[in-house]
Amino acid sequence: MKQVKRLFCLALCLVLALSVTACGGEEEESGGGAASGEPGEVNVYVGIEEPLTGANASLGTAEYNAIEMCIEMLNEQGGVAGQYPITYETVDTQSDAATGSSEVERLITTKGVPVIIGSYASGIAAAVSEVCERYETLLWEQSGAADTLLQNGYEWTFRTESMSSLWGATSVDYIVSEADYVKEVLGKDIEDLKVAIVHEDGSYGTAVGEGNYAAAEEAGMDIVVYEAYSSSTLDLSSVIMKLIAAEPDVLLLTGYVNDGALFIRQSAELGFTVPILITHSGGHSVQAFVDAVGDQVNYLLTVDPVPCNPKLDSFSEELQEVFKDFEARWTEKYGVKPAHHVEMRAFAQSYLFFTEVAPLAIEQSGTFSAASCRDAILSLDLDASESLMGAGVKFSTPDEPFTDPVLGNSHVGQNIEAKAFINQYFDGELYCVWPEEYAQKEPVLFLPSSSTLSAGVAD
Amino acid sequence: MIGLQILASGILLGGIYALISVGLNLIFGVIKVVNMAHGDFLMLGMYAAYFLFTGLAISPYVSAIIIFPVFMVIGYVVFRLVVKPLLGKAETETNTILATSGLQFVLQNLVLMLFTADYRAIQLEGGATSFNIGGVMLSANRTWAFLICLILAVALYYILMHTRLGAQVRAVSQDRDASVLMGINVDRIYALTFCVGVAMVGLAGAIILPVFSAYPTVGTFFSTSSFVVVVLGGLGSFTGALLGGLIIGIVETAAGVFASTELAQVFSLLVFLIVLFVRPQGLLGKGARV
Repeated sequence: MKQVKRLFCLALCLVLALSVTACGGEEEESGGGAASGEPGEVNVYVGIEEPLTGANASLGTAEYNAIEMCIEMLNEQGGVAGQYPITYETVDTQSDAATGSSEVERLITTKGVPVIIGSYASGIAAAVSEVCERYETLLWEQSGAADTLLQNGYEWTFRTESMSSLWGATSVDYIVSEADYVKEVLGKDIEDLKVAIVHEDGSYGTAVGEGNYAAAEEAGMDIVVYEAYSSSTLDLSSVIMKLIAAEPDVLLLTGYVNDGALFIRQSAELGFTVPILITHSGGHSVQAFVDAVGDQVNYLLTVDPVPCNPKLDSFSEELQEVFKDFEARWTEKYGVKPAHHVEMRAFAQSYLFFTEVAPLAIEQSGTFSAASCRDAILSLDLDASESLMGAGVKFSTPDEPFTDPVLGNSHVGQNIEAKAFINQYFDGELYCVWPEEYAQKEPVLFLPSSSTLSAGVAD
Repeated sequence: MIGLQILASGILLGGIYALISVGLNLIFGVIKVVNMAHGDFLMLGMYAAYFLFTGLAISPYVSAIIIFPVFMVIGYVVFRLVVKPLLGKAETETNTILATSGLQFVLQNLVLMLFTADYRAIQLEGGATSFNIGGVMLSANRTWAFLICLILAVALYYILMHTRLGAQVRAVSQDRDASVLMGINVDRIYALTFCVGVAMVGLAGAIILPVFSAYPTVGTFFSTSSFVVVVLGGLGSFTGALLGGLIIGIVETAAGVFASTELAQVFSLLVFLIVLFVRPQGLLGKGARV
């Protein structure tokens, strides 16, 4: 029996270890394949790291496909500035920070890649950013949104999109902007609103939750629930019971696909209702979430770092064409429209790198290297119409770090112009509803009676 | 009222844990093989139910009946190819853990390759419905899962305790060598047990599909809970697994409400540790038996 127990303990340890790493798959390597070229020769050569297997594989693969399509589109026109074809290497980070860090180190030391693009998850981004700093290799981070990523003062990591805490603050700002309407319907001033903040407990969810909390406190709202949960949980009934007891006017929710869908289902089962529900990107903006909750997705508000289905005239004419071209190509290749929160967002940032950073680096120094790209990034100053992310581009430097307005932390390598947008589901598709300059549709602030979570206040 | 709701939600969650753990416990109790790929058979069951639902519009509660025999065949193939060659050899227990761990990676990556990493979820007619019993809300889907778990438990218990086959299974689990001397075909019992264990978790996969999404690594999250439930209840103790599932479910729900949802699992694992200190053989464990 002792031996049996020992075996079971061994098995249990193995299962726990596997659940922590959330498993992985085999390494994948693909791409254009060119090695670094002769000195002086311009060779646009990058490494792409994404979680192609493991827990984040679904969205990691989507991002990877978007980056690849961006490179394909540009290479058809001759590459960067129409004359330097882009070549790349790919590594699979297996949804694991340690694997990501060792794979990227291998790319840098054995392949001599000067620029790394990708990450997807904040945890992986943090590990990769440390490696890039050590080897003075540029990391163009695409969706590691956690606030902590750029707080180390690292000089080689850059993030175009807004950080999680700003997403959290944006949902509160939006409610404050609707103060008159809220008063009319609920009969309450902003200061009297009861707010519940519920988020997954990873670095991303925690940062959004902190943003929610700081902004709600600043606005004088009454925070009645502030609760974190593990995104791998199989049951959210305890959170929902707390919410039922607290009777909030507003629920600010942050999670991933499975827990997000679980929340909607269990709320309906337990009879939880709320007048205003705002979710924050992550799982709530992707197709798998829509499939999981069906019609219940309609009128759900989400905060994203990109405007979904935005008014196109907010972009330059050239970008409008690029936007349409990408949508058409993606739809033809994959049979569905690209999700703006995932694929368009990854495409937009890669496109920005290859059409703004890379040409400027080559023009300024005659080479494509980590240092030349870094110099180019630091000299960028673009208007919002020049980026498909819907915000201007100007990065903070070690000499002039960016102090974020929500939590007051200092960030190096952050796009200080980055914004967050309120999107809303109509017929299963997300449309930007706030701020107005990108909005295609009028927002529906209070959940209508078609939602099982509706408190029925605005019907 | 909140106390009753916690109890109800906890019991329904525990039912899911117990449903998933039954097969693992059966295989361990009889063959003494720790099936590390247990959660991945659950994942395969979820995918099978998903495709039967989306392709042929068969409800997962119906497809569970189709999945059971199909997974018995899958279980038999796995038993012959992976488990059987290692039985009766040196370091059988360790080798079967390693072999089934390997199988876990094969299954996950096979599914990843065939069906991509997309999350697959279904919407049943009527959506997320529930039963309101005196103000206590019972999720319909979870209630069905719980009832099916109970039916399975009773059926399995009856077969084990009141049939000739059950007597043979119990005999093999208690003393393999004596069973051989009594003329029991041990290989046949092993194969049958493994097949039923795999089929039960496949069936569980179909039953939980209306509650959880399917994706290649979904089994990993359930594996941890299954192992905890089985060890807590008592290795090889069938009713222990049921009890273990319910205890973990109730503790997690109560801890989530009264303390913090984030720490719910910490509390359930704390209870698990305390039980192991006080009763190392688990709540109902009396050595390796069914």
